[in-house]
Amino acid sequence: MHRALVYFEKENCQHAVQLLEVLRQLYGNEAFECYALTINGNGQVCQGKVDYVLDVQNQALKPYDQRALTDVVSTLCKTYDFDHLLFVASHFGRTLAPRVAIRLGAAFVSEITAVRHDADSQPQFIAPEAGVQNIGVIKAKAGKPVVLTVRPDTFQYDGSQEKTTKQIKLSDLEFKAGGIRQISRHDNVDNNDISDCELLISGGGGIAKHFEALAPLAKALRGKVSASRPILDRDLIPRSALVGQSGKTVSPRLYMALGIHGAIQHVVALERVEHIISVNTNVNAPICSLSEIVVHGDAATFVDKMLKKIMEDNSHATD
Amino acid sequence: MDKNSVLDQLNTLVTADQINTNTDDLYEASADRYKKYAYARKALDVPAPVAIVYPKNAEEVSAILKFCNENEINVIPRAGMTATEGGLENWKPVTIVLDTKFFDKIVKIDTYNSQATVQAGVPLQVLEDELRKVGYTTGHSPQSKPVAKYGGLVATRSIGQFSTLYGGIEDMVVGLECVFPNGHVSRIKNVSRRAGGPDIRHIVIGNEGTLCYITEVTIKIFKYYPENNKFYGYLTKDIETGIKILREVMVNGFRPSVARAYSEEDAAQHFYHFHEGKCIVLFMAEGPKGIVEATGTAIEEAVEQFKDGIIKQVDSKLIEDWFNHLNWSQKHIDDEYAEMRAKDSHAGYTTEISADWETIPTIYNAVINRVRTEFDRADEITMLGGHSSHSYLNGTNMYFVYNYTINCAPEDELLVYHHPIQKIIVEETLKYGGSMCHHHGIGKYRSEWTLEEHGTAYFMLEKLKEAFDPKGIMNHGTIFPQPEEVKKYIYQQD
Amino acid sequence: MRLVCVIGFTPDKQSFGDNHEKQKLIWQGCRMKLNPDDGYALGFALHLKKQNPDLFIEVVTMAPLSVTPLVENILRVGVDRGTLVSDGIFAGSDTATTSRILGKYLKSIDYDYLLAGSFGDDSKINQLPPQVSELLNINYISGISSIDEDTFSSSKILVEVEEEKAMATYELSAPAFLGLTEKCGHKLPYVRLKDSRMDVGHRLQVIDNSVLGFEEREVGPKGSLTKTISVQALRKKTAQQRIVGTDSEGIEYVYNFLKEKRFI
Repeated sequence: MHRALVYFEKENCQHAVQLLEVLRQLYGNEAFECYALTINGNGQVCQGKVDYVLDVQNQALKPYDQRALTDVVSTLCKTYDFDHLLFVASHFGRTLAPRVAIRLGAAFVSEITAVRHDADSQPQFIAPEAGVQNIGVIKAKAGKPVVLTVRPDTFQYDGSQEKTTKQIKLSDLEFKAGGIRQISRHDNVDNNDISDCELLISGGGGIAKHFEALAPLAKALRGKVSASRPILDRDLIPRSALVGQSGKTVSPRLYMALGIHGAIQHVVALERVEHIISVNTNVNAPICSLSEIVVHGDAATFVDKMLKKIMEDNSHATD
Repeated sequence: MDKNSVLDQLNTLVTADQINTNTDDLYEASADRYKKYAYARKALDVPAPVAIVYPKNAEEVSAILKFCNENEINVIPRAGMTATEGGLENWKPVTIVLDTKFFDKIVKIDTYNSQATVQAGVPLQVLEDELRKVGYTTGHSPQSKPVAKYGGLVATRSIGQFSTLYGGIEDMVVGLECVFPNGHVSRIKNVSRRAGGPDIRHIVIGNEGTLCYITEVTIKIFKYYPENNKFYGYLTKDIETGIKILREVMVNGFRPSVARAYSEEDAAQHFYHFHEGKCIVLFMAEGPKGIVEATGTAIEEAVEQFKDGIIKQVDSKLIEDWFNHLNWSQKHIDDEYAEMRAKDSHAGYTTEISADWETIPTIYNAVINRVRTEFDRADEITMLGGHSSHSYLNGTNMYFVYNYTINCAPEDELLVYHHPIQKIIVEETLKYGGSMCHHHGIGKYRSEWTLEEHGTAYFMLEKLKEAFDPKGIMNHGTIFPQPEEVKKYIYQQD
Repeated sequence: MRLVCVIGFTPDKQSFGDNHEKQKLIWQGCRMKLNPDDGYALGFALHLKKQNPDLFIEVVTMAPLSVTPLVENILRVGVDRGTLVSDGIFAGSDTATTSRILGKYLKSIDYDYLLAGSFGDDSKINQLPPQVSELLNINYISGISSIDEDTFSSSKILVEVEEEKAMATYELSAPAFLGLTEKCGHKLPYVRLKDSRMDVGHRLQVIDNSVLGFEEREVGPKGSLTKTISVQALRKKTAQQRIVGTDSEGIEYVYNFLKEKRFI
């Protein structure tokens, strides 16, 4: 029977749950046991989803002390003889996993986005490679364990299979802590960086008079507000929210261009944008030529109606 | 004379608020858009001027020039600061910049006689806006329109996007007032035409601040008929076809206000939404209805004649829309500086040349071929192409446009990238008998070829300098070559 | 004080083509460039050296000998020593194996801190620093957005780190490996044209396997536990364009699109 460990980092439990889908795809119909490792957490999120929770409670074990964590994870790996160790490609997961792989002499594949099987039913991993425009297909040589980090939000776990979860409390694990100490930590105050977000609601000259209407729509779609130059000229945004040659280069999955003309200086900054929707009274505006959907009409009207539609559906959903 | 003595003396000639010694302003005044990248990166290698002085009238200009002439102090006249060839760059340790800031009055708009008089510091946009109110236009529209001022436009022989109909600034200037280094004020009177010896307006127009300082200009103004505007655009299989169509329209006696032919690469950056990887030829017809209609028919006939080279017609609305977004403004310039500070790149450079119809395609092909094969950083060029945008009965211009990623120190950028490309363009143009400077002037960065540009006629240019500026205090290094400084500031050889 | 910058070179995106049929990128003959984040690590080290000329900076990289001119240019801007770990039998090593090769060299030298970029050129984390740190048994911290320069002279250093949802300050004891991001703000300067022919050969050393002494089966593809089967360029699909209005039908269409793509 296969056996796998998923590291449930305290701050990234929701992403760690998605990793259960990786296991389903890795093992297919073959039987497997899934272990969740939680450190100073309560393991609640894993209930009914995994077979075992390895519940480590020790306040001396800090989430940033990666040497100590490596001690713990490798000890557990030797005890339980896992086939796969899975980590979310989070801030700490990304550096803990390679350390663990080196310690165990294990194969390591980083930041996978998909799993598939070759003709011999051996797993292959898909991961970005040499520039984000390229993907690599990577195989681990025979032997175990294999250590993986998984990009957040690339797998969806549907939670359909209810499992009986057993708790294993571990308190006497050995590790060597030290050399690093956290002095302070505070939440990021509203990160306004438009260069690393999924969805941008972007306004141009055509919506300058109603620019404030963009923020509620962006909020409803969990995106951020950006703009083209005419908006900066009117001092409605700081330069940090400007998309263009003289502003930021952006790569959202969706770029909604509201009343944006689309001069070359603007569109050169749209790098690797998956979908563009433009709303413009002028279908000859250059931006329209790049758009998957062109909404021919007034951008302010569109924003208004779209927001209403989203709100309506939200209230139905919670009825 | 040392810097402090210069400042002391200036204080006796003008009031304190007319003398600017702010460090940032002096840094800005030490160069122009030629060294835009080094400027943005705080890496300029030229001396800053001692002061920027703002005279209020011709008399003050006269007194300052006289003082500078007697003490051999270099003077750089300055207006809207949109120069691109180093005309405003300073190569002397003791220099004062004479700015037109206070020459900001529109003296007279005279629609009956179709002329307007402005002081040298009036922005083109300001006059244009005033004229539009009474149904007139200057007919002058360089990309720098919102920023450029009349003194600079005249001093650099500027040209605008509608030149094919209205002409360059030299066709518009009726009369002017200017001041010479010895303090003499000359006024060329405003008449419709005369045969009173050589046309002395042309000594002043295009002098680039090397002979005199312009204080006032009278130009022609034109009735404005925007409601009649017509637009035409076509994808062509090569730039030669575009140029042939331009020629056909011109030699048949028509004058569209805009007539342009673009190479594939240049079309891609202006018309990414419809160029389809092809070359483009486009026109705008402007003026009284009958003339616009006749011009439109002539354009269609010319296109028909070269239909083998036409791929398809472009929706005229797309051309009109492009046209309405053409000019840049101070915001564009600020944007470019922001870009240059943040990234190792800028909006690129251009070199504009002219020649007769027959020669232009030859020069274009020779240049592109040499840059691609000879330039050692050719693989770092991100864009190389060109367009013809100003046509005449006997020929046209070619605007070479190029951009590159900057993989070197800001101080070295020009010598590593721009200068070698510009050198190839100038050499090929001169070799085939064209002019290396269609409308940006010679400035300092093409002065190494002034002699070759003029050939035996350089004699006349040299005599003008000797006569009007015998001590060489006016804009040292511009137009008239200075081998020492060329070595130092262009080739970095001390 | 000795700083060692562990840097990497990647193919220059702009210069490689791809071969459709074989589903493989053509790497041969394409230009190499310094991993951008590593440039910020070097830029920071050089910035420190400006204030403290006694600081000794060494760059270490494992790469083919063809990157020699790039390393020489790094020496021309003020780095004291360049070490190019290079041997035919190292070619084709995965990152873990590369880390073991570099780790062996790094064990043999003195340093106070190791520096590198946090991220690789592929938007993935730079895996070398954590792996090398594990081999050297030192701490590693990634995502450093600023370093308290005053603490550099002492045995403990203060760094500010940008995590997903928080900013945190850590104190690290030397020796440690620091992963910097571009937020540290010091670019690697370009070589001035006048310095471009400066002879720096005496500051460059090549370390090959005769020094490191690996068995052939330990390195290269044989020594690696993972194998890249193919690399493909992601091709952007050109979607059919749809024009709608702002009427309820148009809004409905956009709404459904957003839903289908999971934006709602």
